[in-house]
Amino acid sequence: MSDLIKGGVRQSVPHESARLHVTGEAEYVDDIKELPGTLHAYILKSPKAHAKIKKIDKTKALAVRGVHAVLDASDIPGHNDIAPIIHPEPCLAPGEVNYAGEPVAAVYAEDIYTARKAAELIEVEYEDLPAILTIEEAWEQKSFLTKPLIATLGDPEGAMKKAPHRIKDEFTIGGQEHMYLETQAAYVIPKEDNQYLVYSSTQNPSEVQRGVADLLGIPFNMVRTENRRMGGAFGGKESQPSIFAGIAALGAWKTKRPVKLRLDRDDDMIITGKRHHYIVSYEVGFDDDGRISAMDVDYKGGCGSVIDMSLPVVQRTVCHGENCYYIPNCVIRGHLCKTNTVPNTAMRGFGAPQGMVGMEGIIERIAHYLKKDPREVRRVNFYGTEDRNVTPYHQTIEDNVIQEIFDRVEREGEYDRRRAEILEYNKKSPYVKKGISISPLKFGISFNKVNLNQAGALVCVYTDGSVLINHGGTEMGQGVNTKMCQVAAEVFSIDIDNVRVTATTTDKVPNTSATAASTDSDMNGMAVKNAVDNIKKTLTDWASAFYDVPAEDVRFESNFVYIGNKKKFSFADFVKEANLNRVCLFSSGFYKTPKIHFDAETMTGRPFLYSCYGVCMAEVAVDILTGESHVLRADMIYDAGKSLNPAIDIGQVEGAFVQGLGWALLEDLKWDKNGNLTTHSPTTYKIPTGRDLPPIFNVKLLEKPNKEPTIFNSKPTAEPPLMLAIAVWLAARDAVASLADYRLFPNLDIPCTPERTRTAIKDILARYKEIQDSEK
Amino acid sequence: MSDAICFYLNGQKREIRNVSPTMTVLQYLRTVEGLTGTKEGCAEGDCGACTVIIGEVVNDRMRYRAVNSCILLLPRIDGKYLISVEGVKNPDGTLHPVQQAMVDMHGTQCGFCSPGFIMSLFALYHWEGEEPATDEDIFDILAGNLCRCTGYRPIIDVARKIACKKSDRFSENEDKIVEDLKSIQRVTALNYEYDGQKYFAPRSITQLLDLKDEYPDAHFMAGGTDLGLEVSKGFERFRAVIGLDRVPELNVLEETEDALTVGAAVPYASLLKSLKKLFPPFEKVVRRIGSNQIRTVGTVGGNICNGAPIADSIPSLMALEAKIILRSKEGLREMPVEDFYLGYHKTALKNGEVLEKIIIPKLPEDHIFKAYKLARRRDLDVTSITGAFNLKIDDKGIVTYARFGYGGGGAIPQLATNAQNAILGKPWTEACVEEAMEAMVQDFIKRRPKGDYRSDIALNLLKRVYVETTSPETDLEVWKL
Repeated sequence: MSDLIKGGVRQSVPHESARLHVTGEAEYVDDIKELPGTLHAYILKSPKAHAKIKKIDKTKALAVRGVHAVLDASDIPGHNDIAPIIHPEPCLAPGEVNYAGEPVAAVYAEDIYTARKAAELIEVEYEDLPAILTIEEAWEQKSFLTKPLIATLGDPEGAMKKAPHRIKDEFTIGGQEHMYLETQAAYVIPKEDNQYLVYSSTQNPSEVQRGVADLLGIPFNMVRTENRRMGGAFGGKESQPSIFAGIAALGAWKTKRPVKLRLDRDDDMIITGKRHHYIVSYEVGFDDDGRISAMDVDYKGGCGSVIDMSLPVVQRTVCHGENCYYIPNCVIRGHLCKTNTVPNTAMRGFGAPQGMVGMEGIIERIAHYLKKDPREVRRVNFYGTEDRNVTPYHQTIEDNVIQEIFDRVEREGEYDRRRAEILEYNKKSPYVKKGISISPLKFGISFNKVNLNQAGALVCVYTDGSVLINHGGTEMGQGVNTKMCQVAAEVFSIDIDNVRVTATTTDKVPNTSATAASTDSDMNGMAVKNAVDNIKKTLTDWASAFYDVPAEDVRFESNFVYIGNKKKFSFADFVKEANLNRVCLFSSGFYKTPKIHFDAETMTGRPFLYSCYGVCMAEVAVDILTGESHVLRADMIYDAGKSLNPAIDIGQVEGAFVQGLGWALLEDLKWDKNGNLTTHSPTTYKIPTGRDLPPIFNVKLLEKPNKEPTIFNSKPTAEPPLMLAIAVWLAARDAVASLADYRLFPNLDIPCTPERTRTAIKDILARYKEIQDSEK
Repeated sequence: MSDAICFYLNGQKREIRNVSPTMTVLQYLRTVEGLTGTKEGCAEGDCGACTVIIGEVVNDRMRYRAVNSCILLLPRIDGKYLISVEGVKNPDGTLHPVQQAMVDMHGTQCGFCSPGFIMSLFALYHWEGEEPATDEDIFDILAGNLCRCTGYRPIIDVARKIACKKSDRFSENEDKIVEDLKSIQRVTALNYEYDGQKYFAPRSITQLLDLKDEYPDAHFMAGGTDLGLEVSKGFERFRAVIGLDRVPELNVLEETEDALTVGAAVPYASLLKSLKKLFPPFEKVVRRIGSNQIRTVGTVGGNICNGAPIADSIPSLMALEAKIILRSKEGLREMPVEDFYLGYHKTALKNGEVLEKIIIPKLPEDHIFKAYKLARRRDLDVTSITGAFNLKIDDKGIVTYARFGYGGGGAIPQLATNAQNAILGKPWTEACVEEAMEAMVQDFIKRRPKGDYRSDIALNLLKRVYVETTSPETDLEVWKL
């Protein structure tokens, strides 16, 4: 690509907002200057996990000075429905609460203090109903949100019977809180004729537009949603923002005043969904080499009280439940367990991490059974390139590079030497044990639901040569806007300084999909490119005719436009000239992902255009006396295709890995016996700090072009690298296994907090003692 | 007539008369000043998005420290030089070196935590330490800032690059800043009142006791890192608050021949140097109390008076036989720190009485002192168990002195007397240590079921002491690897 312009693709240009970030000038929803008369909303939450609402008495709250409205479900003028997928799902609890923390009513007052104090005066009479709080209880009572999602390949039952070795077991996977630094926020301004301008911290402005319109019973064209940037999202602002924009909009409708609703941290953590926790139950059949011939797995997802995003999340778990391995005969079932807990939602990886954790857990179990290094079991099961390449959902893998990356990480990270050293170390060190693991990932790119794989852009060129991009993606820190600027700069062949991206807004590019599934730079990038190509074509056609040169001689190069040998314009002069000659300087662009199809009933098809791959090797030290762990080193290579912006992509990989490290080692969601979340602030819920990252941290990109013709043959970063951190979990467990000379399998599941690790240590030591005693 | 709260904000003088004294600095910046660069991420001092800089004159030089504005009440910055993120950029629009490095080295993603990081990095840029900042110092100074996007690597690289540089317009104009700040120093007490709420910052212990007499329901506030939460999260609007931070008698920090005397209002940040010299393991524990921002204002006195069972400084004070001095109009009371705790959040402090100082006797040279804090996360976490061990082992290998202070294991911090007694007079051997560990079960049994994680690791800390003292070459702490 061209290095002759500043900020084309492949260049590590800084984030387009970096300067605003570091000066505090970057504006988030809560920073928007409030209009006079703005009200502040506060949500009254359900204290019950499951109860009938017998009565809501708002009198006392309404009597408080400064309170302008108190609304509950019965006040909603339209449909009480903000469901992202399966309708309806309520915005405010209608007659029954289904989780502790569910919004029941909202107070709108002149300041947040008054709103909050008044909310305490709303009198709600509940009648308790029996609550199901755990996956186990849901499983027992057959409490499900949908029928199971089942992917089948070959003859799992027959193959299982014939398998030389079989293991049947079960383990758990913890959930995770997004902990975006900016809490959920919306600011709704009523406009003339019952129209609304909705500022929302959302990954999905179109979804918020729909939700608000439905709640108010007005057409979509009366609601405009806008978002300039989010202070982090990680999937937590895919479906959830509709609740808060919806509640704010209800207040704006009722009071005819602007309404702001910004959650405090505790409310944010209590009201909004998280990464799904799972129980994985499996049986696996394999031969002496560890090659898997049959697998039967149930992924039991803790989904909460309504579906929210659980259907596609569990679908993605099923579609990643084989990770990088060819399983000729398998059945993978995903279950949406319905519980009286917060509806879990999208979070970076969207169910795939749990599928991969399940598979890697099974691989490790096989390795332990066969007394092999898990690495060997991984190797014999990897997808092939020519054969052994059909997934459980019947897609043929055409771009497999896992073997290559695995070899490289193993070699560059000196796996053999370090493994040998660790074995030696563990013999000599009684109180600190080390573990090492190398684990792969494959992550399919595209939304499973085919219709979501479309994107649009609107590119405007102004007569001074400056370019403004609107596209359907939202900026949550991942750098999509920067990449879009690079794409436009590259295609126009102009410096990036001439290109800006606007806030994402539903009146520029309508009917957008969520910025999710790691598809935003792929899809919006192509849409931007198409728009720019359209403009260039219009300009070229005009110039070709006007100056009488062949179209191919009109060249956009390094901030200039050449009209054959006749003329040379600066880009700005050229577009000004075109404008004077009445040539259109703007265009929309559209893109739909090719080749994909998926039948959700049979769970077969080609849901993904291609996959991203990655491998991580992690070394972890565990304190045997206390259960503390520390990741000492991590080496990883991630397949970002030909990166659009290596600095941004490296940043995404590192950030994702550390977020995954938090999930693996630190982050522990806890509920009390009544279904109340007890870890609802950073005091009680711990994400990694700077000290938690590995002292040796080698992150590389594969830099190999995507075989599919994606935008400049790049691949996304975004979600997949989170799953590199699975190696951290496995390494911590490897360290604990050393306590029984690797003869016993440790009971240590995600998250490996010090307490859980210490419990696993005591457990393995006790079991080992029994064995040793019996051998004496 | 109420005084005005007088301070500098980003180089401009402010005299504030018309806001609630329980307004936080964060609320003030965002709502009164319209400066929205400073963010609320948690409103409890646990994420650092709200970090601002407080400048003070110390020995005629400026000292810049980072604090959490979300839990800092506005009257606390009377007489200080407040810098918010908006005040960091140069007036000509160019970026401060810290900001430029964050841009150039890709230290921001979503940007929401970035202003807070900029402020912590600013404090590191103006590092007050005599030695250059080490990686440990860098991790310490950044531990109070959470970032969920970057994974921290680029920010740590920035920190290494800009640490201690001290070459910006703040250092160039230091004399002027010092002069400005000196001009607003108050000699008498601050008496602030707005809408029926009062805030006092007395300037002597006599004034302090008089005020408490006059307003018996007034809340004492030392660092305010706990009390601030009742405002920021509990939406409390206290009628009267008495700030302890300006009382000279409570700010004494004095090393004598046989003890270290620590005034109750001395912030941890000012205490570290003395602790490092006299009780290095204690200093290590204190460096893990809260975050750098919390330690700027948080005090040992507050830690003691809160009566929390998880107070990280208490086990060391107990093990070191520290005494506390309480003062009231009736005079002084002195007691060993362990006697101060009567029950869960219940202390021996009487109304009208104030903790004046803590006296920590120096450790005899032939004593061994160890202290550890265990938590889920290495930095800025509520303790699971904190243990401190003061031992004397004579030349025959017999334990002749043992004091083990623990926090986190029960309703109050406590001495593990059963374990102490079990090891006293015994040889310092693995077998005897294990007997003491067994005895320690009794120290925790009333509060925690046998086998419970906290009591389990509490026991193991004694084991760690044993291994550390008998085979120092053995690896014990994963964080040291």
